[in-house]
Amino acid sequence: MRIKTFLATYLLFLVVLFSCFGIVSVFMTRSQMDMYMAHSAAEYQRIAGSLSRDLAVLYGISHNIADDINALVTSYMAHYAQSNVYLSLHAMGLNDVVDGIQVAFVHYADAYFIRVVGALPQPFSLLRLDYYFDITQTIAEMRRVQNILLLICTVFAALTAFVLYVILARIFKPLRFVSQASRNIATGNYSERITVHGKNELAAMTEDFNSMADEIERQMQALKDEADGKQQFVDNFAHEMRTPLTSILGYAQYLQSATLGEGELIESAGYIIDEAHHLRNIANSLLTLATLRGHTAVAGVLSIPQLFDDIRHSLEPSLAAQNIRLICDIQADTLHGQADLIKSLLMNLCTNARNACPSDGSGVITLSAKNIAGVSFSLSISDNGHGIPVESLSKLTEPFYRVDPARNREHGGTGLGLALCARIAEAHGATLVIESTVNSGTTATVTFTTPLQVDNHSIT
Amino acid sequence: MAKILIVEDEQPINNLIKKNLELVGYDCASVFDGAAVSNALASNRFDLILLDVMLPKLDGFAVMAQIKDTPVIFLTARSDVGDKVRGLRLGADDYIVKPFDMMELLARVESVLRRTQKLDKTFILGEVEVDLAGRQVYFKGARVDFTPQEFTLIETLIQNRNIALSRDKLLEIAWGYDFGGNTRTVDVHISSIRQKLGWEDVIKTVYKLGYRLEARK
Repeated sequence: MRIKTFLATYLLFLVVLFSCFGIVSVFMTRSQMDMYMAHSAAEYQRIAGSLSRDLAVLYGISHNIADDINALVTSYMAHYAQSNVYLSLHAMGLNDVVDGIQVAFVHYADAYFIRVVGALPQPFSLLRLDYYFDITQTIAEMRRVQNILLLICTVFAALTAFVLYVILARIFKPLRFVSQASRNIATGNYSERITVHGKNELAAMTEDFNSMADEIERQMQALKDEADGKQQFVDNFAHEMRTPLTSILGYAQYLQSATLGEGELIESAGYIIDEAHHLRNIANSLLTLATLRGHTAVAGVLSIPQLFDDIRHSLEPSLAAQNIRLICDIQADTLHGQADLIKSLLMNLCTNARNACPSDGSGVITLSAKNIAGVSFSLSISDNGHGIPVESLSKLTEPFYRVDPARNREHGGTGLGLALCARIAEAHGATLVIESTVNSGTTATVTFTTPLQVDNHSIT
Repeated sequence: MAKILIVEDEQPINNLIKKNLELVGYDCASVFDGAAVSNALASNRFDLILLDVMLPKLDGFAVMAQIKDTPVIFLTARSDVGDKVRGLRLGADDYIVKPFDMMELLARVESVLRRTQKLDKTFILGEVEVDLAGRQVYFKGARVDFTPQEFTLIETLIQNRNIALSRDKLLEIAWGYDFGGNTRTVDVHISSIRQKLGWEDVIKTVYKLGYRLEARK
């Protein structure tokens, strides 16, 4: 591309340059010649006139006409030879009479002349005067000037070739960068970018190229994250399945192969049933998660006091058993949302809060609903339990993520609760934010920012 | 009888291991987190520890560092090679990847105990005495002639006593994987042993499954 552009441009330049040169030199030569011819013709007329007058005088006074004519012509020749003009006089026969004068450009070997031939005026029309103006010097001079011009043109052409090449190289440099960067990107180096300064089309192109690369990098990263997430999910899922399956398989084998008393039989069957329940819970939660993907909540008007009462009612027995107080702080009346989902969200968060709380009577869970200056509506659940380490906070909503590396299931959770909560919040156009300080408590806040909530809930 | 400590936080699995080990005659104690191991070791002497890697409070590798000269078998849920290597480097005698088959666990426990010479050398049931080290069987004090294959079979039954073993499993353990014979071979050998020792009621035929050596104390 660069070479082609260079050749095409340069060829065009050469054609124009040398055409101009050719045309100019042809015109110059021609006008010079015309000038010389006109000059020669005029001088010839003058010489012929003067010669014929001298001849006429000579005829009147001469005694030896032939010698005198010779002397006269010789003196003319000698006089004009000084200015490179060679004259000769010839007698013609009657049949050879010429009309007017003929001007021509002639050359003999290396010498160039302008030749003017014609008869002398009457009464000497039988005498022919030949006039040769030697322009060899002038022609040589013209050739020299032409050669110098040609040399200058050639040097100029070479210089132009160099400059053109440099300019094109500069212009095409970004293209080379682009192609290099494209190759790098194609081999997987998605962070490759190009820098081009200036404000021309190429700069704009590289800018576009860079934003394309940005987008590709972003999308590749998103895909990679998604694939990693899926892999993580599958790993965790396999682990979650393995523990209950080990129990189920082991106890079933035990039932089959050992002789058992009734107590042992019931105990073993109990383990199988518990673990099967656990598997069923995982399956149900996964199904709910799958159903919630891309789901938009079917919003109805929910009464906040009613909602909180329901939660309190469901949690009462387990809260009483652990000596935990539940405080409801209601600063808003209603919420637009899907009843079953919102309830499930609050139950999950409250159960987590309960599990985090100490059971020595100091545990407090606060459930609150607030309108923040008509901008957003939020539900929050706080506890004063053991808290969550900072490094775990961002992973809480990953399916099967457990803060405790030993992944114990002492509270019987499936590991999907917070993933579900995040999905439910998403389905309502809300965000779930969990803040926590180890040993002092955790606050989970669901903030609804959809206009529906804000419009319908002026500050109460 | 060998004493085994089971360190596993999943209560159902801990209990399951305990039940199976007790079935074949080992004494077992269970703890559910890593921190409790040192207490258990202080008050009791164990011949073997089954140790889970992922434990609350103190993980299996940390617990391993506290154990001086008791053989350890690692139980690991992760089939991660790194974990296995790390466990073995720390001095574990063996490892088992969850989920594991009980038969496999018993075989590995037995293998470690045999290596450390903690296995019982004789098995006595009623008037039968089996000398496991000398590979001899005595009935009412008199030596009974046993073919080597018969002895391997009775040894298998004793080591997995109180557990029903399928004919296929017996073939696999007592004859080896590459044995081409069918399950009829097992029946023939079992009836021969029953006859020689008067064990018609001791080696029970388990319906649709196989045989079980009943040796409840």
